This record gives sequence, C-alpha cells and structure tokens, in this order.
Amino acid sequence: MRLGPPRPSTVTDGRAGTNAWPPRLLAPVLGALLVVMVLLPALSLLWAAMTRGNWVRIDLVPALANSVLAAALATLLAMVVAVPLAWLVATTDLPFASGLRSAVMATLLVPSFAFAIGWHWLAPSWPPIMMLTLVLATAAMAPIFLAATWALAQTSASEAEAARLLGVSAPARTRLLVQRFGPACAAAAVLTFSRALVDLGAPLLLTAPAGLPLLTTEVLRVFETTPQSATLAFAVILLCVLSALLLRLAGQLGRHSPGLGKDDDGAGARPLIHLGPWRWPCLVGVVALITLLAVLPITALVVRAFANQQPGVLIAPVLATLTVATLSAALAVLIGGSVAFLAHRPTMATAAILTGLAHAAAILPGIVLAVAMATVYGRALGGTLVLLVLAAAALALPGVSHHIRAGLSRIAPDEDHAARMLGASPRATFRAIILPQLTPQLIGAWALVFAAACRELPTALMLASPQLRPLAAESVTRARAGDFEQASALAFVAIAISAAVVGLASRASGEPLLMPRR
Amino acid sequence: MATITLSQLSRRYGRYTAVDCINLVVRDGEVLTLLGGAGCGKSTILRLIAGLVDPSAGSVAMDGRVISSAHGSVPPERREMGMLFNSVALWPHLTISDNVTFGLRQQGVDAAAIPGRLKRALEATGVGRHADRKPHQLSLPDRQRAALARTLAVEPRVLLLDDAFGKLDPTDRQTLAAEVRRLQKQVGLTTIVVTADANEAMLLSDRIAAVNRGRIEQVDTPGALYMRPETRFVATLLGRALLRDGQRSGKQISFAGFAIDVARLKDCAGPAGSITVCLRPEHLRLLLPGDSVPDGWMSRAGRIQRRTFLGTHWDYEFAADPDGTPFEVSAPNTLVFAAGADAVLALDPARVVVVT
Repeated sequence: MRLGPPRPSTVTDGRAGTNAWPPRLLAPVLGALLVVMVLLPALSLLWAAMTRGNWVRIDLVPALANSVLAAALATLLAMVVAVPLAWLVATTDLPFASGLRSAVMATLLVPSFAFAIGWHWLAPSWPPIMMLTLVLATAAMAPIFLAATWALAQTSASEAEAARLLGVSAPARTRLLVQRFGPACAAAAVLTFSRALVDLGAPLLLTAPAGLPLLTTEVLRVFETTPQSATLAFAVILLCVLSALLLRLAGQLGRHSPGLGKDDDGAGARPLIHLGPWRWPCLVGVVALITLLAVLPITALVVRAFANQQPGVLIAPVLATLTVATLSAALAVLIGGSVAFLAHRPTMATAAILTGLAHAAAILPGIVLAVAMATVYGRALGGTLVLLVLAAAALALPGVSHHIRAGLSRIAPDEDHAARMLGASPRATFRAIILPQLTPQLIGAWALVFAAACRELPTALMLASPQLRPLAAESVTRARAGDFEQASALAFVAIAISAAVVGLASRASGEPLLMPRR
Repeated sequence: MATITLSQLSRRYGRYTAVDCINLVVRDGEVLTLLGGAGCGKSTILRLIAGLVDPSAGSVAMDGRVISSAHGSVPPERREMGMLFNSVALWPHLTISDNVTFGLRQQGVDAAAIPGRLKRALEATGVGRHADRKPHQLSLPDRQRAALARTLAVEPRVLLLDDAFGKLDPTDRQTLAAEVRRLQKQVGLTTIVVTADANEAMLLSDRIAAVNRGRIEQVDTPGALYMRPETRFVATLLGRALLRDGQRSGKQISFAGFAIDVARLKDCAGPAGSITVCLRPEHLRLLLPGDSVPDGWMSRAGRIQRRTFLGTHWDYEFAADPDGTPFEVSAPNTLVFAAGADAVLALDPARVVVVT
C-alpha cells in the first residue's frame, strides 16, 4: 500500500472538482450585477447628499408628521381588522373561511393607487387623510393577516390541552395565546407601518391634490422640479434610515416570535373553536368589513373602467408592463436564485457578501431606489427599458432570494450526496435532482415578482419615458391629470394581468401562492 | 471489494476537532461499524471516506491508492462507493425505478442492461412491487429498502451506512439490519456502518470501532469488545456495565470488598495504584444464604435493596454494605428474592476486567 503524500496521478483536486459547478465566474458576475443594481445607486445617493451644495428648502417637518400620522392610523386600523379576522378564519368554524382567506390575500395584488382611485369614485368629498388611512389599512391588511394566521398555526392543540389540564383559566389561556402570537403580529405591524410610510400611489392621488404634503409626495415634487437637489438626497436618506430602523425592529420582534422563528412540524392541528349561534353573525360582520374596505373600491374601479373605454389607450402601457414585468421577474429570479443557491449549497465564502448585497435592497423603498437609479444612470439610461427592468428586479431581490432559499432548504443535502455517490457530477446533480424539485419555487418567485412589477409605481413613474410607460405610471399620471376613468381602466388591467399570472403560476407550480396554510 | 485505510486522519472545523488523528484499516469484505454517541465524529469519518468532506490532515486510501488527503481528493462520484443515509434521501420527484436506475445512467451503463440490473436490485431488496411508485407512497422501511436497491444497483466496491436504520422502530431496524447483513454476505461487500445502537452494531459487524470525541478508543470483534473493554467508555458503550473504583497493590486488586489475585485475571498488567473494574450484570450470580458458591468464584453476603421484573429476568440491586454502591445483578425470572431479603453475591474473577 502506498501512503504519504498523494501522487498527482491518483488524486484529483477535490475543491477544483466541486467548483466546476457552479461555474467559477458565477460569483463575480453576480457580484458585479448586485453592485450595479444596489450598491452603486445607494452609495451615489449618499455621496450626493454629502457633497452637493445646491440645497433646496423643503418643509420636512409637516411632511414627516403627516406621513407618520397616516402610517400609524393605517397600521392601527389594519391591526384592528386583520388580527380578529385571522383568529376567526384560522381557529374557528367560521363558514367559508377559505373564501374569506382568499379575499383578504387577494388584496396583495391590488396597488394602493387602485384603491385610491376606487375611493375617489366612492367618496370624493371625504377628508383626504381619512381616505388615505382606509386605503393604506386595506393594503396593509393582508401581511398582518398572514403573520397572525401563521403564528396561530404554530400553537399546537397539545399546548392548549396542556393548559386546560393544568387548570389554567380561560382568560389566562387567551393571554398565553396572545403571548405566543403577539410578537409576530407586532413585527408585521412594524413592517406594515414602514411600508405605509413610503407608499407613493395613494398619497399622490388623495392628499397631494388637497395640499397635504407627505414625505413621498414631497420627494416626488422636488424630484420633478429640481432633480439634482441635495435636499432631495437628504429626504431620500431619511426615508432609508427610517426604513432600516423599522426593518431592524421588525426583525428583532420576529425573532422573539415562536411563529416566525421556526416552522414547527410537530405542532398538532388545533381543533376548531365552535362559534355556535355567533357563526353566521360573525360571517356577516367579516363579509361586511371586507366589502367595505376592499370590494367596494375595487367594484367602483371596475365599473368606471368599463364606463368610457378607449382600448387604444391601453395597448402601449400593457406592452410596456408585460415587457418590464417579464424581464425584471426573469432577472430577479436568475440573480436571486443564484445567490440563494450559492449561499445554501456549495457554501462559498463570497456567498455571505452576495446575500448581504441582495438583501440590502430590502431597506431601499421603491421611491428611494428610483431616485438613486435616476441619479446614477439617469443621464445614460434614463427612460429606457434597461433602467426600468434593473430597478424592478433590484426591488424584488430580497423576496426572491428568500423564497428560493426556502425551497432549497426543503431539499435535503443528503439528496445531493446520494446523487454524487451514485456517480453524478455536481452539474448533473443540479440538473437532475435540485432543479426539478426547485421548479415550483422558481415559477412562484417569477410570478410574484411579475405581479409586484405590474403594480410598482415609484420606479415606473420616475424612471419611465412617455414612450415606455407601464400601466401603473400611466394610470397615476392620468389620474393626476383628472382623467380618472382612463386611470381606472389602466389600474384594472394591471390588477387583472397580475392576478392572471399569479393564478396560472399557482396552477403550474402546484403551490397556492399568496395563500397561508391552515 | 476493497480495503480502506485511514492514516492520521483529522478533520477540524475552526477550533473544533471533529475527527482527531485516526488510524484504521477496514479489511476487504468485512463489515466494520463505527459505534459512538451523538456528535462523537463517526458520521464525519464516514463522510471523509465517502469524499463528501475533505480531511484537514492525514489521508484515506482505497486498495493502497490515496483517495483523500489535505492536498486533494477524488470526488465522490469517482470512488465507486455506495451510501445509505439516515434521511433515506430518495428523490421525491422520481419513481422508485427512476431512483434505482439514476446511478446506472450516470455511470454510462448500457441501456439494454439497465432493466435487468433494475430488476435484480429490486428483487434482492424486496421492493419490486413498488417500482412505479413515488417514495412518499412507501413505508419508511420500504423506502430504505429502495434506497438500498439504488445503492446496490451500481455495484459499489464499498458500502457506507450512515445510521441508515436510525429512524426505524426497533423491530424494523433489526429486520432490515439482518437483510443488509445477508446481502452483504452474498456479495462480500466491504461495508462501513455508522450507528449509535449497540444491538445493531452487534448484529451487523465483523468488527466494531468505538468512537469517542473524534478518536477511536478500541477496535475489535463484538464479542471481544463486550467481554474485554479497554476503557470506561467502551465498557458502557456496549450493554450494561458495573464500574467500580478499586486499588491494585502488589499481586492483588481489591474493589467493593472483593480481593482478587492478579494471576486470575486476563490482561491485567499495570502499575500499583487506583484502578477501575468493569463487571457485567449477567456475570454476577445471586445465591440464597447457605447455597454453595461455584468453584473458584468469590462471594459476599448482603441484602436485596430493590428489584424490577423485566419479563425474561429480574434485575436486583444488591448491597453488601449499607453505605456501599449497590450491584445491579440480573437473575432468571425463576429466582425470586423479596426486597430486603438476605442474599449472597458471587462473581467469577475470570470475568473481571480492569479498564482505564
């Protein structure tokens, strides 16, 4: 037997063999793309705020106060509605629970500007801040509902039975339940607050015409008048910092939550609580609430969309939307999927950096990224398809990366190892074992990014040219000009396209997208 | 068939040493089991052999050819080894047939030969009727049988079992272990098993390597390992062991009131001083007061403190001194002592083992 230093003829470099797949160039290429899409715009924005001297005075305090007030009211209202709703749907024998769940989750497909147009038709004379609160609360309802449902699902039947056997009183049991799923709801509320704070569509159509400034509408106003302003950069950075703080807080709250921290397979199904005579009154109340907040504005939008149709107006925005959404979804899935794969499987040293860069976009709201992209690439790529696709893809990267990583974590590493032991190269293992199992997640991620790109407003509004203006931007532009009927039609088509794609993707992937499991 | 040689093999993760300078030879055609508790490094040793983990130092050789070292490794797909995993690791998107033929296709086996080899592998493992099913439609033992078929179909030179039966209930575990042993004997395949279950190790193995904290403490046949453990760890790894502190002075060892001439013990060389003695409960015998003690045995009178009926036998706790550590003694279910009854404990000095 030969021992000692191995001979080159008998030993292949294992690391070289492992690195043959994924290709050596993948990590540098991904890094370069992420620098272009995320890091460079963010850094240039920071640089602009530090160095440029042409400060333009904006009245920051009232805008900030109005934004915080509207976001806080909307979050409060969303919590008051969504948490009891989640409890009723997830833990009781409420009739038609599945349909109600679908109705709530469907609001994720409706952009805030579409709700705003709907409310414009329903109650044009209502105070703008009230309408804004209703719109933002409706848009925030689904994430809170989702978080609460998820957390409730984690509390197993055996926990409840143990408490009952130990003689814990009903109020104390309720308190225990709240302690279990409270942090998850709080985290969702904080995230919802941050999202409401940086929403552009609803304030632009509801409060800006009434002269009520919000942070996002002020940023857009200054951007449209003096795009090189350092004040603009200052306001944008403020938004960034605020978002980062809120995300951090939400992350910490989420970690304390047993619901969001782990997926406990051992939790048994909780028996449904019987509502008895309250079953049908509860259903009526829930339906009335969903109808008031979501169904009525959407119905008003749809009715007006078909009232005075000019189909020719739709063609160019529809084509632009389909192009931007298709390409950005493909790019985001490609980059996000690759980053997730590198982080999850070969465990490369650079994977942490790439993941960090991909997730950094989570603290850049759409309006901030739009301003940053315009600052860096506006001169060379302003108004082009490339810039719109890059921006939409960058916004989707954190979600895509997370979605695909969740899919990868369902494939046990031993499945890769088994394939390798049977003679498959790393490339063949990826092609024959990992890719087929990951396909539902890839389709799902693509569809969700597509839907998000259909309703994405700030980047479409600030980076598009008049020749290449997606449905969202065209709808809001027309609404600002007072043409609410065409705006309704454009918004409806955007919702219909994204709903159709998500529906088809759900069917194709076999996984119900946007649907929490009971 | 192949001989596997591990030389000075180590694997470190930062400051943590999972495998610490191991030397081991797995002989051609034998079944060797790496037996140890959770986190002792036994699975890492198996993955080092499989090529799924690269060594930090030392080497793995197959028939004298180095296949893993800190300088480079033959990738797993070129080692001609098969592996069964604790997680089964059948691919859920493929049928059992596709799972089994995957390796054959990867190795470029002639398409005309594949159906025959598939049939042989499925029949040998008894899962032929499940050929067109997906893994989730099979019971857990059948899934592991299908995984075994997948592994045997490619005719590996070495079979690795990474706690492959750990998720099965005890009955299925024994049945499947016996099936693997039968197949292994038929083919004469060099097999390395990782398990934390001493019974499984006894059932499967020609030799057992006791692994503790990344090191191999003792390698021997199951019988020798059980009867003559060299360390406290090995003594407690296989079955129940009574460990008692004692003293060696001159030509005698003494423990728990017994004094035995060193000449009557096997392999008891060593300096004078503190020692640890290992006894097996079944090597002690309880007698009624007045019963004759077998020739050459030693005895002490005492009292039964506690008893537990376990169907096939009784477990008694016998104490010679009120303050001393009691002895756990197994006795046939026909030999009944009441708790608190007087009894005599007898032991065969030839069965006493001194461990380090």
